[in-house]
Amino acid sequence: MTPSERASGIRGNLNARSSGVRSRLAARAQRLSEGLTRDLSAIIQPERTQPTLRREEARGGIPSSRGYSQHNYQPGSSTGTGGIAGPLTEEDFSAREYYDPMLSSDGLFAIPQIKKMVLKDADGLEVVVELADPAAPAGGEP
Amino acid sequence: MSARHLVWPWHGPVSSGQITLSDDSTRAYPQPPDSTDPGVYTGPGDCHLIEVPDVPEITAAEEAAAPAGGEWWAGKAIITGRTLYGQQLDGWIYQSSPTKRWHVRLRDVVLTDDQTVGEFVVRPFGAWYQPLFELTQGFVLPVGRATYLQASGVFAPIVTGRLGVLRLHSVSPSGQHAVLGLYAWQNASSSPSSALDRKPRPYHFWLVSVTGEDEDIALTVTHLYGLTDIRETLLSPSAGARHVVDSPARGTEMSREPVYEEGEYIGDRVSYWFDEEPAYTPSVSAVSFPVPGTDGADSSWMWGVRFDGETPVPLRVRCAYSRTVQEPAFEWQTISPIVRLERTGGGIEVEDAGTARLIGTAVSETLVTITGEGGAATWSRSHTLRAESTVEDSVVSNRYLLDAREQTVGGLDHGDVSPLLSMGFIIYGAGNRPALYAGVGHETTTVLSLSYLLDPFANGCLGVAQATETAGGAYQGALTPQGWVVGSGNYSETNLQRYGSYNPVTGDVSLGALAPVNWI
Repeated sequence: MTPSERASGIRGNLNARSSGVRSRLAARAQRLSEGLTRDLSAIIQPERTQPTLRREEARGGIPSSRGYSQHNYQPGSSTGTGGIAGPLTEEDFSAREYYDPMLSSDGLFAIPQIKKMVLKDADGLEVVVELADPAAPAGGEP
Repeated sequence: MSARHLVWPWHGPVSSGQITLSDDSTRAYPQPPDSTDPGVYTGPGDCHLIEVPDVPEITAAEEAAAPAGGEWWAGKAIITGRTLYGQQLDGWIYQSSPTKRWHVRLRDVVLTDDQTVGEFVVRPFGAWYQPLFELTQGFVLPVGRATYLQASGVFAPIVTGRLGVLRLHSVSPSGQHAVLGLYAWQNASSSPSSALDRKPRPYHFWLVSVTGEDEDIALTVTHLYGLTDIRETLLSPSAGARHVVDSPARGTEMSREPVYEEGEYIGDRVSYWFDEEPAYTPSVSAVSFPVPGTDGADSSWMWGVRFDGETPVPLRVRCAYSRTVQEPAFEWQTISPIVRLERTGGGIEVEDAGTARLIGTAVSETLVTITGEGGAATWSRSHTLRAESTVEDSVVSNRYLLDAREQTVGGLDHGDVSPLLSMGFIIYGAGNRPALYAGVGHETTTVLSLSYLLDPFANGCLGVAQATETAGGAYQGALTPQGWVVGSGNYSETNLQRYGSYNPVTGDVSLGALAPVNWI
């Protein structure tokens, strides 16, 4: 191989490598751009036209129902929106508060009734869960 | 309406590993063991009622939610032998306060000839997320395996040596007190094995008092009753002294006529009646009678201890009687007079000793009262034992009465006049079961009899069967912590491997069952 042929090959390789680098940088920039757009979209809620509710006839009190919660066990994905990032973790067992325990009908077993739990979410923010007293009179009464 | 957890609706007798529910369906449950082995701290039919105060009654809505054959209970539960809802406790539940309960367990109890040692282990019960806490406290009782005297004292004389077992006898509703019993039983071989009454009977009771909470929990064991209390004798009979009727004495003169010899007056030939009034001399002979008088007896057998609140109450069957031997109404009847030649010089020649016969009547009567004591309701039975002796021509005829039954036996001798009649505890029959027995008759002949056959089943249930000299035994009912409970069962004179128990919730009893019976 002549010196000119060798120089031409090296130049070609350099060009190809340079092109790959530029391509990857462009792709990264595109991803950052899309993520930023997505994040901004999440922060800046577009104004939406509020739907008009049709008029409902009065139905009386709201029937009582058992409270429930749904847990998000996905890894932390805080978006800085003020929401709770799972998982929620209880760090201090003794911080729990209880209602009077619920007795079994034979009077022998006292089942603890949790009143309050202090948790921390994935971002270290404190989350307080306050539960209803199951021994309290049922709701819906006038 | 406050929400609460409804627990354990399955109640009824437990036998052969099954609960029989109110709709006659069955449900499996671990059968308490029938064993006198160490480590088995309850009898096969023992159960203990737990009562928790201030628990609202079951509402109609809750009752309606019970499963078929089931029933919710409010504020109470039964420890079935050694288990609660199928979980082995080997002890009881102590309620230290309205919100705290503790499981008191017996562990590693060992009896030697001289003492009984073991441990109580206390842990929190019925509450979740409580700090782990366990208290172990040993105890030593200065009484060990039963001696022959102790075993025979509780109607268990057929033993091969010293033996005993410690059982949880009864528990107060709060569990703040419990009674431990040391039990003896007959363990000699017999053929078949069931021919001997092997039911354990307590010969010592100890009271366990539990106080405090958490680290301040303390158990104190104090002696409650020993054999002299268990077989208490308040009054022993004193009759038994006898006297004989002296030979008939010469009484009043019947006639007198002069007697001449060779024309010379030598004296009078005098005839005498026998003195009608017999004279008695204290003695013992075949013709002796019991000395008239009154005596009595009062003895009891404590077969169990129940609780009235926190107070232990002995459960006794008592037999007391008052016995009267009346002054006999006898007199001598002259058959042929005494004839004597009474010489003027003072000499007396008995020409005819004459004959006299005793006539009259004598009565002995015993009024017996049998009482079941200590139960919430008192139970008693009264019986009259009576013998009316008639002596005619010195031949004795006795009319015997036992309540409304009577029988007359003649051809007896003076020794059978006014037999001493009594009723008391015996070890009955070949099976050696405890009993109260009255035999009305003379010497060794029983003419009328009455027996109360006493089966110390479990859980304060004393089965009572009645038998007479002609009628075999039949259960009448049982003495229980609540008093007399009418009941029937499969009584056997020869097969004493029978079981029974008392349900502290329903008051039901099971008597003479062929397999162990308990309750939940």
